Amino acid sequence: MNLRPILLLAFAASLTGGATLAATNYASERAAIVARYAAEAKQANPNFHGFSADAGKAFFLAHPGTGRPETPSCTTCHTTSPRNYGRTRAGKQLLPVAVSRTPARFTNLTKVERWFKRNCNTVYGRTCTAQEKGNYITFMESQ
Amino acid sequence: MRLAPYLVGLTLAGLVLAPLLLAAAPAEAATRGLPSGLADTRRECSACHVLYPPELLPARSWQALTSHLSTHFGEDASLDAPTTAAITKYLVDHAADSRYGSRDVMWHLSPTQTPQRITDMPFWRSIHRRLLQPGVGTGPGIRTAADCARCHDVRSE
Ligand code: HEC
Ligand code: HEC
Ligand code: HEC
Repeated sequence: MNLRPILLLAFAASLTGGATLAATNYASERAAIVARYAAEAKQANPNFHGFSADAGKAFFLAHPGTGRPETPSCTTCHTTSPRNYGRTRAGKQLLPVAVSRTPARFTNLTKVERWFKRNCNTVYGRTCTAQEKGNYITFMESQ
Repeated sequence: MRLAPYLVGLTLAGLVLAPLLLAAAPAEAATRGLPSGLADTRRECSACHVLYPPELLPARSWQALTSHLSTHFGEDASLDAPTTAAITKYLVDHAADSRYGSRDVMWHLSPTQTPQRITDMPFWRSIHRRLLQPGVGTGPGIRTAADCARCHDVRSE
């Protein structure tokens, strides 16, 4: 009996997961996601005037105090500078969220929606609006 | 104790898992003939921490854990229902008490217990006993012991 092969196998399986992004056009995929949030925001608010990087920055840095105590802010994991590598509470390193550092950011709608849902819930204790999501991505695009 | 002969053979070499690992994982295994649910598990369950091997918890533990992903150790790890089902099936099919498992992982685990942490499994605590300060790796908060990559050379993406 030996536990080692078990670990080996399972971790081996985890090695090759990330390499699916080929030569896709990140900028246009991200633009499509932002356009989608713009349409949603306009529907919710006829006076919608586009997204604001400054508002996105404030949203990112805020400590709203309405979510779970373990995750008071987006910066808990993504750090106060979007250009830095992040770290989860469980110790895993995260790629920077700034688009200049990680060009593939915000290019997969399913992924983007999944994480807004989770992280808005843990940090803000609610879902985020389309306006907030668009502001956030606009801020990260400027970084 | 059944783990004893095996533990005697353990050395720090056991910590350097990656080289062996790489050799054991031909590249195309990543795309062809994957057990169903593996791709989902790999993508979704390694975002926040290492990909924990399914063989290190019994099926009932995986079922319990995936039944409340929106309240997962203080975080929201929720997924849509089809993805949750695919991942649960993969984890359960490869659990410690499945045909891929080892009885040693089930060592001293009472049938009435359903730990949701590998770090609560008696086998794990026995192996790591000497590394744990009293109280470390217990309790509800973050456990640095759960970050296997701190001591084991693993990659999780
Ligand atoms: C508990 C740690 C944690 C906190 C707190 C957190 N995030 Fe994240 N976030 C992650 C992880 C892990 C990922 C997935 C891995 C990755 O993409 O780097 C992620 C990914 C994302 C993504 C997807 C990015 C992409 O490339 O598509 C968005 C959007 C996001 N986070 C927004 C937020 C916002 C907004 C907040 C604050 C309200 C926040 N996050 C707070 C851990 C966190
Ligand atoms: C949003 C982030 C996040 C995601 C996604 C996530 N987890 Fe976790 N997980 C955590 C945190 C935080 C802990 C507690 C880590 C600690 O104590 O240091 C944890 C701990 C665990 C543990 C217990 C570790 C131990 O032995 O102490 C298991 C098992 C686990 N997760 C399985 C999973 C599975 C299976 C999935 C995919 C369905 C998953 N996780 C997805 C954040 C996440
Ligand atoms: C504090 C460092 C540390 C952490 C964190 C840690 N381990 Fe270990 N682990 C060790 C050491 C050292 C040994 C060898 C034990 C011995 O020789 O007595 C070991 C042995 C093992 C073994 C026996 C097989 C082998 O490779 O030698 C398994 C299985 C294992 N660890 C799994 C895990 C898992 C899964 C996690 C995360 C939940 C983890 N470990 C976290 C230090 C650690």
